[in-house]
Amino acid sequence: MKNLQKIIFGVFVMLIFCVTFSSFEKKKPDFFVTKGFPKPVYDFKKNPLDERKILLGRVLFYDPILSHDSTISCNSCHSQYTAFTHVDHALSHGIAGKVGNRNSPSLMNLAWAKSLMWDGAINHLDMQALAPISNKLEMDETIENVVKKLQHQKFYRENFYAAFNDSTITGQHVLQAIAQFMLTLVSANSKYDKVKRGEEKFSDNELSGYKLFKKNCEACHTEPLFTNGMFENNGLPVDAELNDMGRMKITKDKNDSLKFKVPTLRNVQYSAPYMHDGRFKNLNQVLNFYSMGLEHNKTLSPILLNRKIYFNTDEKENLISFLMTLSDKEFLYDTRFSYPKR
Amino acid sequence: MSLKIFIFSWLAILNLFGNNSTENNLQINFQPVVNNISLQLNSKAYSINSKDSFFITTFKMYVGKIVLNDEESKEKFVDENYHLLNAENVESLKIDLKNLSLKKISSVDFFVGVDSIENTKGSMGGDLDPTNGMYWTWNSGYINFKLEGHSPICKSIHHAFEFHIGGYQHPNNSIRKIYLRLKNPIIISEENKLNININLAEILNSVDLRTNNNIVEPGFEAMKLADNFSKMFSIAE
Repeated sequence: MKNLQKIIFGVFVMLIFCVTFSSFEKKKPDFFVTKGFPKPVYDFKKNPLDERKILLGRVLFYDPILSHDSTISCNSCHSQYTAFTHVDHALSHGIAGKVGNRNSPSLMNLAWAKSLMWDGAINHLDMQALAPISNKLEMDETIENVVKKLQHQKFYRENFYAAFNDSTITGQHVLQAIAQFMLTLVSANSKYDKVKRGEEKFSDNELSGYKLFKKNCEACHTEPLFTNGMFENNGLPVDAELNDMGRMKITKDKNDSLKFKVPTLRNVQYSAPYMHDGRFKNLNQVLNFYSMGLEHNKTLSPILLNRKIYFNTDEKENLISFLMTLSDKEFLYDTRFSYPKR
Repeated sequence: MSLKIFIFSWLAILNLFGNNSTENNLQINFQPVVNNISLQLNSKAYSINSKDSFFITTFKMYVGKIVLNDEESKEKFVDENYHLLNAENVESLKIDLKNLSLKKISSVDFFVGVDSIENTKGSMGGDLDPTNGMYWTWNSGYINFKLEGHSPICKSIHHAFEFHIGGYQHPNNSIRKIYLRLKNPIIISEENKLNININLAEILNSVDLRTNNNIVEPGFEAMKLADNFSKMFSIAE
């Protein structure tokens, strides 16, 4: 009897400890707009962020149930430690080892994305997950079947009820939950951001690199998102085997031939390989290409047409040290984005 | 026993009061047909213009923003919703419009397809839920009109034809407005019915099925086919 009393007392003390400590721990906001960032494109009024929905989206993001044979999850090609892209693979691979047509993009600051995918095929973050789910080379599944599979699991019925007040799972709710998780992937705490806030200072090399960046790259990789969200032809010669015409596939407009969405440079140190087909393994190769590999074809970005870009060895080094200040370790290791406990 | 009668009579009295404010409703019944014969999925059909047979296996279409007009008084009744018609599901072909404000209906107009605003709003539910098989996953946007089947004349794998007509962006916005005038205007009473035929033979006759049997993305061909949407519709008097 005395033992039981001790145990109860012990549990009580532990509970008090837990409550006190958790209230001391400052909770980070699920989504925030850092000073200097523009107004988000995403309309939060139509899908207001909710902790239960975000968690549900996170569980779905890491669950291979989204794929036809339950082998591929979103995380398969978008892993957190590489800024949510597919490390080491030029072309990302999906179901049954099939190789896709493009390099998976990194995922961050998606609330500011006007369109998604290299060719802007997807017009709204909510609808993005449909593309990899249905792609024969990626998850080879249908949203109809995903909903059916989720409906069979008690865990999902309960959690959809908790999040959406409806235990009948719908396509709309699946997509909204995944979008909510993706919206929370905000990267805005790199050294660059700290310098901008006056908390840190660039080294001499980084500062020289920043100046080179401003002169040569900023027009497309516009601060603070490090993309202007537009489609540009950066003079990359066509891969004869892939024959990827980019944006033209979507608009059917010849003027959009070979244009691809300008990717963000945030966390670029970790998101190799580079370009829509992942042809460059490292940043040096990218800078060499801009220095001397541009192909002058009809739809080449006027920005590139009107400027001579050339980086010597020192300049390349400085530019790369600046690009490394865009790395946000806090984002890459934030446990709120990692594999969830169910 | 007396208690039952008591309750019953009260209910009857309440019911009388309830009836004082009558609600005027209209049921629009869309009827997919092949010429004059009502559509039977997966069974043989013929079109007027040729002796060639065909089978329709799927027919789905979005109808939205239905407007009922009384052209004399210029009064309108507007239903802002989108409805998915699906030949497999008879209930989906019936659209109930409740609480009409009009006294007479002399014409009706509506859109075939989903407009650009709805197309860019993100994830939606009900008839617009992406699980209805009417949303393109590789290129965001709703499929406005889906007609699938096969015909021996199609020079394609399994002699199949597949028309997925959609696209909301200029210059390939495939949404079309349909206007139908009623020869005999409906004088609104409590329950009203309007039957609208959708003649799918008009679409199949508008293309050369032998070679043009696969339109599955937004673009010029989809636009041409969409231009024939208005020919399909007629008021079934």
